[in-house]
Amino acid sequence: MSQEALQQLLQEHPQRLWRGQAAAPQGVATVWPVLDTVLGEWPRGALTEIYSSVDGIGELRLVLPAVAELSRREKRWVLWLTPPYIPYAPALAAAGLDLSRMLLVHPRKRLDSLWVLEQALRAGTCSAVLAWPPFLAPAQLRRLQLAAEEGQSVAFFFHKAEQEGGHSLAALRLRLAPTPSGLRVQVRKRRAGMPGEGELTFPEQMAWSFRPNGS
Amino acid sequence: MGCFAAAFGPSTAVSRFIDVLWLALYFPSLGVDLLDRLLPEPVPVALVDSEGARQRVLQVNSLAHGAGIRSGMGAAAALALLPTLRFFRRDQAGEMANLRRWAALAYAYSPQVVLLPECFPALALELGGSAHLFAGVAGVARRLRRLFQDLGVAVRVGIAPTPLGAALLAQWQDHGCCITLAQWQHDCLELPIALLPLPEAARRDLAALGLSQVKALWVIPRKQLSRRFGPAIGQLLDRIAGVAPDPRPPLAFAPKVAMTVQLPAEAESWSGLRFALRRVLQDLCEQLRVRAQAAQAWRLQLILREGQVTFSLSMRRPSRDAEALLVLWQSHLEGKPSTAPIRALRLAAVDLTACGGQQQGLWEDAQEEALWSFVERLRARLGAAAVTSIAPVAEHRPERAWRRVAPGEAPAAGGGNARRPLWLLPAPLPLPASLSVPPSDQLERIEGGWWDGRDVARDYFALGRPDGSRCWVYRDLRSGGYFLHGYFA
Repeated sequence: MSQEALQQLLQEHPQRLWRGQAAAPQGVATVWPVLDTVLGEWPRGALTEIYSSVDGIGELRLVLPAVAELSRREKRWVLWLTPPYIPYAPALAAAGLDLSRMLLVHPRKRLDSLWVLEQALRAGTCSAVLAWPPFLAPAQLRRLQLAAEEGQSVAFFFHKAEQEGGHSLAALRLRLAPTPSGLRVQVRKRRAGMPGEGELTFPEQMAWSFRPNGS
Repeated sequence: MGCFAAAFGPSTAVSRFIDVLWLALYFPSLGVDLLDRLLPEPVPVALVDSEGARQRVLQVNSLAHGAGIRSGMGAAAALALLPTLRFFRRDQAGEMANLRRWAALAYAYSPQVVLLPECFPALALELGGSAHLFAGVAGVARRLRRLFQDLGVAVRVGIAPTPLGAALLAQWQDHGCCITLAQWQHDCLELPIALLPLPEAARRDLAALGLSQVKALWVIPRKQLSRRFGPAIGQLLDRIAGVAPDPRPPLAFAPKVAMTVQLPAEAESWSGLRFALRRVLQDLCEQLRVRAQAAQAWRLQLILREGQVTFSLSMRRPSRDAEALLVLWQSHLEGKPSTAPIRALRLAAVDLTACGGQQQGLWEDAQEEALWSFVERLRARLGAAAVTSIAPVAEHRPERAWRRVAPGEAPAAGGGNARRPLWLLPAPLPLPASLSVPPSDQLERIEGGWWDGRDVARDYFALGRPDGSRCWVYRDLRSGGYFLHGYFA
C-alpha cells in the first residue's frame, strides 16, 4: 500500500516532492572520468558554485569540455559574464568551443550584471552561463536559482574562496585547489549526493618556481 | 427596412453583382477612447468643449457614464455628481490625425478610402470590387471591428451604396446594412433628420415643423424646399440617396510611419510611459503590416516639461511585433537616468524594409528568433559595446591573435592553437627579474610585427607560481625583462 501511495504522490507532484538521485533532471557529462563518481554530472537548471583562492589554476579546464560539447550540440548561447581576463579565442577554439555561439557580456553597472544573469538563466536561450558575478546577497541568489530552474541552462558561478558562506541554495558547490600536476576538486555540497573529492591531471609541462602544497 | 442585420450574413454571391458599396466606420466616442487608451489606470474621464466659463460635457467614458454623467451636462454639475471626474478638452486636430492614420489601415481592404468631414469622425471605404477577397462585406466588417477592438476604440459600422448614406446608417444603427441601390433609395427615407449634417438653424427649423424623418423632406417639392432651407439640403438628400454623384478626394497615404501623442498626465517614470508607448507601438506596427513593411530602427522623442530627449533603437532584423518592441524599449529606457516629467512622445519607425506575409513558420526559425531577440534585449539595455563575442585571428603576436566581433560572427571552428592559455591578460604584467628559464626545448619563440612597427621578440614558457597559478610567461629578448601574459586556467 505505501509503495502504491508513494508512486501516486510522485506522479501527481513531480515538482513538489524531493526525489533521490535517480530522478534528478538530466545533467551534462563533465567529460572528466575522475569526476564521474565524485559529482556525476553538471546539473542543469540549477546553479553550480565554484570557489577558488587564486585565478588561473585550471578553473576553466574543469568546465570547458562540457561547455564546448554544449556549444556544438545545442543551438543556444554560451554566455560569459564579466570574466576577470580575456577569454583567449585561439585556446578556446582549440578546446572545441564553437565561438559563433559565444556571448561575452560586460555590463558597466553591478545591478545590470544581476539583470543579465537573471535574463540569461530564465530565457532558456543559453546552454551554459559562465559568470564571475559581484557579491550576491542570499535573496539575489535565491532569485537567480529560481530563474535557473526555468531556463534549463548549466550555470557556473565563479567566486573567490573568501566569499564562501555556510548555507547555499546552489545544487553543487565546489572548492578548487591547485596541485603540482593538476587540480583538486572538493565537492562541498551536492544535491542528492555526498561530498567527495577528486583530482584532475593536466598534461602540460610546467616549470615550477615553487611547489604548491609543499609536495 | 427588413434588410438591417438580417442581410448581414456572408454574402459573397451578392457582392459580385453590385457596382458600388461603401462601408462606413463611425467612431462615436473617439475623443475619450483616445484618452482612455493612454491612461495606465481606468479613471472617469469627460471631454469638454473649449468654451471657458460654461463648459459642457461632450463625451464620457464608461466609468463616468456609469456614475451618471451624460453628454450635454454642465461641467459643474458633472463634477458635483462625481468629484473624481477628470476633464479634458476635446482635441479635434489629434482626433483627425488618428482618423487619417486609421484610414490608412483601411487600405488593406479597399483601393478607395475617404474621410467624411461632415459626419466627423467617420471614414468610408469602397468595397464593391474587393469584398469577395475577404469573405464578403460581412468578412471585412468583422475584421475591421476586431482591428478597432484591439486598438481600444469603439466603432459603429454601416454599409450602403453611398458613402454618406453608409456613415449616417452607422451613426443611426450599428450593423446597419443595405446592399442594393434600389433598396437603399427606399430605406434611406427612414433616416432621422436629426442625423443629417445640416446647419444647426436648419435642423431646429425642421424640428419646429414637426419633421423627423428624411421621408418627410423627400415629399416636399424641391423648389419649395430650396426656397425655405436653401439649395444645399436638396443636394444633400440626392447624395445620400445616390441620385447625385458624390465625388470625394481619395485619402493620401501618409509618407512616414510616425505618431505623436500628448500624454493625458505627465509621466514621471518608465511605468507611466509604458502604457502610452504600447498603444503607439500597436498603432505603428499595424500600419507597417498594412504597408507590408517592417522597421529596423526606431526613434523615440520624449517632449519634457523643458526641452526634449531623443533615443534610438536599432535591431539586427526588421520587426513589427509590438510586444517584442515594447520589451526592447523597456530594457533600453530603464537603464537610462530618469529625466524630467514627460509631456508627449513621438515615435517614428525609420529604416523601413519590405516584409510581406509571415516570416517565421518553422519552429527552428522561432527558436533562432528567440536567440537573437535575447541578444537584442541585452544590447538595448547595456549598449552594443557591452555585448560582444570573440574570434581568433591568424597572427603571430598573441595579443593580436584575437579580436572582438559581433555576436554570431565568429567562425564555428578553426583558428585554434592548443598551446595557448585560456586566459589572456589585457596587457602583459612585468614580473620580478629573478625567474629560472626552463630549457630551450620548452620555450616558444615568437617574433614578428616588423611590418607595422610593433614588432616583438619573445620567448614564451609555462611557469607555475607559488600560489599554484599556471602562468604563461615570456622573456622579452630586447629588454631582457619578464612578463606575465596569461593563465592556463
